[in-house]
Formats: sequence, C-alpha cells, structure tokens
Amino acid sequence: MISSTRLLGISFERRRTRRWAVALYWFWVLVFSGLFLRHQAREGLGSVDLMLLVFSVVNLSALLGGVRSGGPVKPFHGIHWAPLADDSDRLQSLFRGPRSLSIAGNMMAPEIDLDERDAALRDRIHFVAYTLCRWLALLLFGIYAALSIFNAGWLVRVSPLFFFLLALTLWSLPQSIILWNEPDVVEAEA
Amino acid sequence: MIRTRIFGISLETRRARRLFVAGFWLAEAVMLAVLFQFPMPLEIAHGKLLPLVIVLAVASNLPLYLGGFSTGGAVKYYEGRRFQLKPETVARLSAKPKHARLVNRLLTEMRPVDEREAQLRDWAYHRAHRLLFWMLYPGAVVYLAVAAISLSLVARLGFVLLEFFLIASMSLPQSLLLWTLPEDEPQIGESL
Repeated sequence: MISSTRLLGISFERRRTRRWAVALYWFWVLVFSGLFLRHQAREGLGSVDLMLLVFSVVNLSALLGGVRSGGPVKPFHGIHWAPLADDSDRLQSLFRGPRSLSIAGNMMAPEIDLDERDAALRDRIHFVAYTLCRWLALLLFGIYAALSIFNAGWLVRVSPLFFFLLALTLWSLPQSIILWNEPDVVEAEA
Repeated sequence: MIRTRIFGISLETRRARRLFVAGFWLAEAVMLAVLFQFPMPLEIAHGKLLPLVIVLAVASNLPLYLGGFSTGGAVKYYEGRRFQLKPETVARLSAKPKHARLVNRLLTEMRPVDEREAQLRDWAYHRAHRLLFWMLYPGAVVYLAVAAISLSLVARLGFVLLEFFLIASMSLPQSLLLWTLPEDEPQIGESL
C-alpha cells in the first residue's frame, strides 16, 4: 500500500521515516489550529481565513496520498486517467531525466487498481478510521453543547475549528494509520 | 448479516429494507428540522431544554436500530461478543421451540463476524467514509460562510450540522448494507 514516490526527496519505504512524517503532520495540524484560534480570537473570522481552512483540508491531507496519486500512500481507487498513454513521443519531450519519467509514469500507465491485499487493507483501515471519527464527532458535539450552555462567547470562536478538524481527520486518518502500521517495504517484499 | 424482523417489520426483502432505511433518514431529517427551531445558545433556551433533550435523545438513539456497532439492530453486531455460552446452558435455554429460535438468534449475533461478513462490513465503511466526507466538506464550507456573515444563525446551524454528522457517522455504513445487500443474504437467526 506504500507508494515508491518520494516526497520532497524523502523516501517512505522505512516505517520509522513514515512514523516521523505522520507525527510531524499531526503536530503541524495542532500548531495550525492553535495559531488559527489565536488569530480568530483577536481579529474574528474573515473571508481569507475561510479560504485558508477550506483549502487546507484538501491540500494538507493530499500530502499523505491515498485520496490522490503521487503521495506516500497509493491512491485508494487506483489510477484511471492516463492522458499521454498513447503519446510517448510527447511524453519523452516533456519529461526528461529518470526522475521526471517516474513521475510521468503515472500518466503513461494504463488503469492501475489496487491488488486484492491492498484493497482489503484499504477497506479494513477505513473501518478503523471511520470508527475513530465517529468518536471524534461525539466528542466535538459534546463540547459544542457544553459551550453552548456555559460559554456562548467561546462557541463562535471555536466552532469553525471543529469542522476543520473533523473534515481533516476524516480525509487523512486512513492514510495516517496505513503509514504508521505498514512494515518496511523491503521487509514486505522479502 | 441482516435481522429478519425488527419491531414487527419484516426485513426479508430488499424492498422492505430500503423502505426501512428511507423511513429512518426521513425521521432523522424531521428531528433535525425540529432541532433547528430551538433557540441557541442553549443558555437562552431556558424552559425549552427538556423538549430539546428529548428530541436530541430520540435523534441520537435511532441509529442504534440500524445495528452494526450496536446489538439488536437490523444489521448484525460487527464485533461479536467475547463471551461464550456453555453448551448445557444453551441446551437448557433451548428446551422450548419458541426459546430455541431466540437462542439461535442470540448465538448468531454473539458469533464474531466471519471473513465474508468482515469484507462486507469493511467495504461499507470505506464507501461510507467517502460519502461522509463529501457531505461534511460542503456542510463545513456553508457553516464557515455563515459564520463569516451572520453570527446569529451560526450557533444553531453548527449544532444541527454536528448532530447530523454524528448521526451520519453512526448510520451510513449500515444504511449502505441494508440498501445494497441481496435478498439471499443469510439472516440473523438462520441455522448455522
């Protein structure tokens, strides 16, 4: 389930590297949430903040792969778009060098689907991630209701973050679990 | 993986199951519409707290009847129970035919999911996961847009949206299973 794509020159074949990447990712989400909360408490919620939250959900989680190709986790639904599959000359002229060609490999490849093992793993991990998200939704709802009773002023400040965290967790938790648990690629192939 | 009857409603045919799922979501939509009418924040709801709690309790407990993550619902409990009844206890409880059917149903529910059921469950959760995100993301965008424009609506909208996501997170996989499983799906209570 781990792709051989390198992200920022870093290979994700070793589990230790992946665990550091996942820890860093979620640490950054926490820091971002804290900074956002602080900014919102001082200056309120503007349209720029809105756009930042909306785009962050998609782009942050895309770093981990899964929901798109090119990340450390293989795309969950395979690759079904090969725009230059029949035009290898153009591909060669556009992409020169071994690194570029490996990126372009996705554009040439015919439909690639996950094998049976990867598909079963993907589904099983989604079961776990969904269950965790359900508990997160319950927790956030409880906090929202409590704030609504005891401190309505904080409610308006904190609630945009709730939706951001819920959406981001939903979209990136499966990849995080896969990256954390999958064995080293060399071990698996052996 | 599907219970034969729930509250006297037969779930043997796919049509019946689909009507059951549609009825569930209609009931939830009505609950959420009622919830939206309550004033927010709750500190100003005063005397309306009891009706609010009742509506909330009903809306949040309805998904239990779909089953899956809870026992007794339309879909078999996913995890299965960890304790086993002794054979002599089973024999004693099954002495009467009427009790034997109940015991058989109980034993089926207590059996952990087999490989096929686990695959179905995981498939449903995967699909539900994507569906939930594509419901949550536009909902969150609408909420954030409202938060930037009108603070008076934002508390109520946030409350209802979060409750909707909670209900959806509890019931989407089971809804998908009930909607898509064929009629010849083995039912809870059938002999193993």
